[in-house]
Amino acid sequence: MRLVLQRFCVWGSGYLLVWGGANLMLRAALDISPGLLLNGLAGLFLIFFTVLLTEWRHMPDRIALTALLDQYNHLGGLLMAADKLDTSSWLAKLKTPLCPQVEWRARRKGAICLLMTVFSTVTLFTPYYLNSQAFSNKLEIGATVQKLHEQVTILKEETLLKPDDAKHLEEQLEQVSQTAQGRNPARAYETLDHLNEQINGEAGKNVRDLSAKMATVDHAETLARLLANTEDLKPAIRTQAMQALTRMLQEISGDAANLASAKNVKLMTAIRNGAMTPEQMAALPSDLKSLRMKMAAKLKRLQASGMTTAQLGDVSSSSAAKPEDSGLKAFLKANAENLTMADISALCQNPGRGGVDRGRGDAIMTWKAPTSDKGARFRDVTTPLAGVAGIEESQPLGVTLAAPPPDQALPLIKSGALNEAAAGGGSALIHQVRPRHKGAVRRYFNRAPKETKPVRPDFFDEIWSGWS
Amino acid sequence: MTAINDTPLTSAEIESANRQTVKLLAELDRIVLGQKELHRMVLVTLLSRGHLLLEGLPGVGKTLLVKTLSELLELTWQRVQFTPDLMPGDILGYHILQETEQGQRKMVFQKGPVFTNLLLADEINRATPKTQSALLEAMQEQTVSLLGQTRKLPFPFFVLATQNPIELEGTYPLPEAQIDRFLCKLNVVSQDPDILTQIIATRRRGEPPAPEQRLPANALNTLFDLMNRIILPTPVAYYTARMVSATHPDADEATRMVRDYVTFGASPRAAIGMAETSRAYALLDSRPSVGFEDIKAVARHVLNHRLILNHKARIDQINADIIVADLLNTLDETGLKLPDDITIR
Repeated sequence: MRLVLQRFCVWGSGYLLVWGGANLMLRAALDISPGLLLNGLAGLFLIFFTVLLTEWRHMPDRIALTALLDQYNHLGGLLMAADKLDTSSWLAKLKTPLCPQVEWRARRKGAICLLMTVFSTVTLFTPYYLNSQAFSNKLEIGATVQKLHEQVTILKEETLLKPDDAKHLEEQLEQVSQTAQGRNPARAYETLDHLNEQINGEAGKNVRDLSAKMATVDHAETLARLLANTEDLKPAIRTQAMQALTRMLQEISGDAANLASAKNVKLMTAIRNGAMTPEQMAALPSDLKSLRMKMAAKLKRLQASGMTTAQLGDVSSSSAAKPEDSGLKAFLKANAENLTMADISALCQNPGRGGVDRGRGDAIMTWKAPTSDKGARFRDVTTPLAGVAGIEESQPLGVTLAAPPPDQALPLIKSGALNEAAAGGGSALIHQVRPRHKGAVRRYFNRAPKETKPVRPDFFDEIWSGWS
Repeated sequence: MTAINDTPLTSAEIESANRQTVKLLAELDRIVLGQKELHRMVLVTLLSRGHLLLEGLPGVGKTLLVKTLSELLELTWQRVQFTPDLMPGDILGYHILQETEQGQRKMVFQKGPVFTNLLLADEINRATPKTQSALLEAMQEQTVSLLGQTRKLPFPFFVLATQNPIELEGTYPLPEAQIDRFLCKLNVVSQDPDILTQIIATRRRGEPPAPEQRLPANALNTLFDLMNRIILPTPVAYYTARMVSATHPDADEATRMVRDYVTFGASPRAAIGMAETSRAYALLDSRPSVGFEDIKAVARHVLNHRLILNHKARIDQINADIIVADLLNTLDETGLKLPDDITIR
């Protein structure tokens, strides 16, 4: 019986472990009630009868038990031989055989069995929400949805997105966050990708438009400042400049509503009529600057939210800086009479900073003190002979049995950088620069400077001092 | 050879046999002092009709023991001192040309010393393998075949060989086939000081006293007959078979020590030998049946020279006795295969 209990303890522990695990899964996945799961206890009865049957089949026969009794009592085979021989006379001399006791050290297996029983019981009475949390299939996309929400809010606050479109996007984001399931993550991620493209596409379009208008405001601000700070412009040039300013202001008229509000109506009327008063002209640069700063701040916010590229962000930040009036005044005072409309346009387009249309080649060069060659020395380097150096680039044509005869046809080394270069197929790789060109190089650097028209040194210094 | 008698043993027969063996052992113990357990195993080997190999240092009484035994049993005995130049003919015998009274000449077989009941092969490992092998047939079949003629040896025939575990230069270790023919190998150890004191105090020049009682030749035959009727129960036979099987490293019940140190295990002849010696052991204990204890008592002596150990055993200084002792401790007698946490008390 102890053998039955021992084996039942082992098998039962295994069964309880499996049953407990199954309880957890079934409750979480199918929400089966504990009462129904209790039917699994019937498996223990099945196991008990299986163990009983197994042990019954493996029960030792009478011979084995006799041998056990004989060995236990040290009877020297008398009990085992009793079938074939009358051993009673010998056995009578011995003490009565004792029945051996079967001992089972059940501490470890009993502890495991108890542990498994507790485990399976706990699995039956674990609160449902713990199971459901453990087996929840919800897809975690909260961070992505939150980011997109923030972007939509920014676009809405900056009036870069229509309220209806913003509402529609927010509804879609809410729907995705609620319906996203781990069973089909591709669907949720595809929807998020689509919304991301839609939001960023809208933002990009607005950013490009804003950047273009900001450049125009930039130009207009510079031109307004130029016109406000000089009285010495030729009338014809001033008229052309005013016309250009008017065109620029009309281009940004939609955003010009953001100019100082009290003067909006009068200012816009004056702009449209091309008849701005001196007071309006005087206030215009600061108004345009304020507009430009607002646009730059808007671009910075879009950049911070990840909706603009870094290049646009750089443009917006660098555009915030403009030359000071003092520098411009000094420049205009000195050059107002000579300025043409082209110069004015160049100034307005931030000369020296490159442009989208004309590029850096249009920038005015700044000449400072030339690099001195005083103290410079050439280091003498012995270049390898052309024939030796050519070995590295040569290709084998064949193998001779004996040492090849010296090629008499090869000319001796002569002067010239392209000496021994193949005619027509010569490559720069095999050109040899010879030391005798050292003199030519030295003469080039020692040549007398050409006569050039003197440039007033402080011309551009004034300009750059205003930009810095 | 005696015919097998199936008549059940009686208590009186066993008592009678026990009286004779006790007397014999007492006489042996009186003449050769201080080797009681050895004497018991020697007698067990003789009752099992097996050959005995005695191993021990010079001067411990190996030859004296064999000589005394032959005198006590009233058996003919011959002693052969094995030397490297000993030839097979010196043991088995040879044909010599003799002239008859009629003046004819014919080959006459001159029996060798092997034609005796008790052959003392002293220092058997000093003879060449050729000479050692001359004993193979005699030991197994109790016959000698020469020039196509087979001659039976007298019954009973025992070979009691001695060998010296030291001075191995110029010796020829016994081949496995021959060593397997020895039923038991017994180690003869030195005496303790008390016994030595007794020897030198009571015996001039170490000469043993003359035997006072001898076992008649027909008494030995009776003992052989009783031996045949000792019952070997099936569980004990199964235990013996499992034990011999477990000496093989690839056996299911082989112990870790067997797997580590044994190259070849014991042969079926060992199982037969264990069964026979355990019968004799039971007879000396006045029992008509063999128990597990008898198997345990004789296992070491029957198995120790039959296990071929590997070099690792030599390095770890493990000998066959240790391995057999481990086997006896590990192997469950009844073979019930109980789980580890189930014990019988």
